[in-house]
Amino acid sequence: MQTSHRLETLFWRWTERRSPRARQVTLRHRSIYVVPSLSSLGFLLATVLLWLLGTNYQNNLILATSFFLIALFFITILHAFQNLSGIKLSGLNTQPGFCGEIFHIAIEVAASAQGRDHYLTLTESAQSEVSVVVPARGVVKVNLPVQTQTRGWLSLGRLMVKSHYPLGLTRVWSWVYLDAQALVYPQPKPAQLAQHFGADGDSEDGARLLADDDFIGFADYQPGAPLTHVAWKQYARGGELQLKQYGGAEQDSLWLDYQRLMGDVETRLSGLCYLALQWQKSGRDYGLLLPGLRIEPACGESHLHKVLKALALFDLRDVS
Amino acid sequence: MSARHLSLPVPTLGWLLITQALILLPLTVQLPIWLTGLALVVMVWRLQSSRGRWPHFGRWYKVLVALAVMAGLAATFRNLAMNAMVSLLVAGFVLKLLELHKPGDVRALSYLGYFVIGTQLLYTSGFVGSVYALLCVLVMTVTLMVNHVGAVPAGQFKPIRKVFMMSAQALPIMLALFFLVPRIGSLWTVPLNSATGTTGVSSSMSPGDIASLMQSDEVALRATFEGDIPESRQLYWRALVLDHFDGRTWSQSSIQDVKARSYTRWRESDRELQVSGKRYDYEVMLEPTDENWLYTLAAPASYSEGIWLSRGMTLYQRDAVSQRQQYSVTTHVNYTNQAEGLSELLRRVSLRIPRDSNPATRTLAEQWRRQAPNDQVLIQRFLDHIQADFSYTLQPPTLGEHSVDEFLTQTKAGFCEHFSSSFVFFMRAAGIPARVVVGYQGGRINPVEGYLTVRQLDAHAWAEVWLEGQGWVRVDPTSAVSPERIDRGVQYSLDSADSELLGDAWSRRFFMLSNLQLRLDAFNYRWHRWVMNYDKAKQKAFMQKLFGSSAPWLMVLYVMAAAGIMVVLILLPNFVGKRAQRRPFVERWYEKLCRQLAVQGYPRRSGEGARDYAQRVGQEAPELAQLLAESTALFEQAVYQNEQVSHSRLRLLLHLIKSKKYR
Repeated sequence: MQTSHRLETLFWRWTERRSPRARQVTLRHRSIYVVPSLSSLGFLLATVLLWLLGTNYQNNLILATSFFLIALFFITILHAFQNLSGIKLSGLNTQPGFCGEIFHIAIEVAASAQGRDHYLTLTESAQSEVSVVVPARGVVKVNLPVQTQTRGWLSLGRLMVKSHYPLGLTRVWSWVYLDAQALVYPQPKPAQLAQHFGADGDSEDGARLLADDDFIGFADYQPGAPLTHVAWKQYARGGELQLKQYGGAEQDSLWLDYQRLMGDVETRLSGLCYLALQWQKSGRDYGLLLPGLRIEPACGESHLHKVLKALALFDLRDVS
Repeated sequence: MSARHLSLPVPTLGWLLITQALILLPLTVQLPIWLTGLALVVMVWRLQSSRGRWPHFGRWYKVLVALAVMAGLAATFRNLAMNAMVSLLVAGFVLKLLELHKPGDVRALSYLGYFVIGTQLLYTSGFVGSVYALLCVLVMTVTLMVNHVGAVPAGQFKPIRKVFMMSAQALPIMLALFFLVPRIGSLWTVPLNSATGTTGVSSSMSPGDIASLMQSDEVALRATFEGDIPESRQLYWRALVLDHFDGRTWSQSSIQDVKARSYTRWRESDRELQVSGKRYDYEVMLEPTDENWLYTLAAPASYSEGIWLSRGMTLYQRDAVSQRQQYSVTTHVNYTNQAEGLSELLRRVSLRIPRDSNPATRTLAEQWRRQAPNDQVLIQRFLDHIQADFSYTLQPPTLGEHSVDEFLTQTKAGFCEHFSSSFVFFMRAAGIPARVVVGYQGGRINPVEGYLTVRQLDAHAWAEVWLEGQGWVRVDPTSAVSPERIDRGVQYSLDSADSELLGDAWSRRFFMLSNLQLRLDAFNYRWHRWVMNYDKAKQKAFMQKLFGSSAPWLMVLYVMAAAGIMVVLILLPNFVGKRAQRRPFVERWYEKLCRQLAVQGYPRRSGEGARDYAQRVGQEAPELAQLLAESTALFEQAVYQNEQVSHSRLRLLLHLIKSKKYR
């Protein structure tokens, strides 16, 4: 089991060396594989039976027919190879989307320089299979549906370009590592920002940016509240453990604060994503606060994209 | 259910049905008529049901149909002959239409189709039939391709073009395989069981047998002679010796029965056959007869391997002739056969007649015997007798129980069968060993190719008598009555009412047609001699002649070489770098113009539009302004508005601009 797995890894590494990952890939003989298809066994059986018939009845015409079919089979292999040889695949820019959606990875397939039609099927996984006919000297854009469950950069896996052209007697294919990427935003999940707490004293980092300085009063201590918000002076005097509260929760400029959401990283990012979309809809300015990242409040489509991109790419090590 | 049927695209189904019809058409002759009808119904049903016009059937109906067809086949064919096999194959080929949903089904059907095309060739091996079969193979391949490619983007002809191209490329490899792959002999025998009324003479002769044979103008055999063709009255193609008479039918005695194989073989040790005189070498191509005897002129001195000489001096072989067969024979027309004496057994057999039959003839024979000084005189007397008042006709009156008696005394009209039969009976009754020989007599020389064609209407029966010191001597009583029959052929020996009965009556009426027929026959014959009869021996000779050796590894090498050449020819363009696509003339012309202007000192700036460039140069060099304005206008027209512009005008402009260079 172990060795077979290692062998498999080695094999895929070998194929990747033969057709390295690139933005644009041209299929050449180095990376094209041809084998007779399963259904060609029937064809060969018919040929052998014809040969037997011709031999037995010493009928040269029947023999000639069987020889013709064998020769045709051989020629078919060459045409099958030619059908893939020289075609050019390029990854195009793909629209970003949300995690869990089906992505249509855009791939451009260009015909070879020899002026032939190409008949092929692109496969990424069992679900994503697209058949295309590329007319001679033409270009066809293919949207390959790919489903993803993780945010970040969705990169196209091992792409199989295959064909049974011309007669279905051969199976010709190539593994292509195409550098086509799409940005996957976190999946939006409804969430609410927690009541925010002010900081005690000035602090240089951006963690307390949401607050203004108006002190409102004290509140009972809640487990999990930031320690900076604890009213230490009152506590030292022997009082209850209390939290200092500041005003200014309702403002025109809103902050999407990572710190003010509960749950694990993914839940928080999903929540932020949801809120960003909501706030974008309501047309107000908003900014983003992630640990180590700050995007100033603004509005508009490109701002939304900037925010969502930051969410998609936040701390990717944990995800992968 | 209906959704599954619709899943097979219409073009695929159309091509498939057309191909099936093409493949089955020539086979209908061999199939039981009900199977042809069924095929037609199933094909029409498939077409209509896929268009939603006729209902689909459930699985049980289909099983029922299949079972019914099996039962029908079992009832029609009682033995496992080739026709039964082919019918079974065709039944499967057609019934698969009932269960045809996926492209994979179409592929399976196509593979079966290739095999059915092969069976076509069992029955028709002429040139036209071969071309037709090739057409079927090509159309079948187109179907396979349409099935695979599905909807063709532009024009339905693409698959056809592609298939023709691939076939042309496959041809050299096919030829190499054909000429070089070693031939192996037959592996098993299944009788071909061709159409009813098997051609050729049969192993017995009853009244009327030969007359019915003469109504067919089918070719029986063709013979190519090296050098001269013997005279017509020497052309007795003997097949069988019939030496047993039961009062009505002549047949082979156990001594002569060529079906009994080795028992009938000529004993080399006897040295009974002495040949001398002119020698004729010839090749016979025999049409399939489904019998194991062959045809030869007397007396065969040597002949192809696998052929035996019988005691009756005829040729035969082990297996039936189920395909056209070619063999070569050397014949000497002068010979003596068993001149030194007749064995007691043979003499007894050659004199035997049924005790109670034809008493009048027996009496007459014994009477003549006493009057004749020797055998020759007796024979001549008989021949003179029938020559005097007998007539030759293909429509003789029917004969009763004592057929020879009635023929000799009352009807006195008949053809070879009657003459030879009564002659032999008479001779036996007179104590002279005699026997009937059947085969063909004569033949027509094809003026185009110079070979001899013998047809069924040349069927003939004659006699042999054994004479002391001479052995077996041929006597043809028919020639006494109708010498034209022997010298010029049967067509010239009959009156017009009779000759209407002959097989070729229709085509003889139209000279043009018969001429065309002769040409076609000549072409077919050549096709058969050179293509169909390329066998193990010819292959060896061919290899020897071409390469100086016939070693198997050399054959492999040449086949691989043929394949290799095709690989290189087809794949070369892929490896000779990218052939730069030739850009349109106008673009190349404009590039030249820019180069020319650069030479003249006005290089185009990077990113400068064509019109800006022309204006700038025009200001700097006013003598060019007019020319450049026109050039640019034409260029823009051609490139941006896709209009046709005169190439000669463009060339002229470039030339004029060049000519301003030295101003």
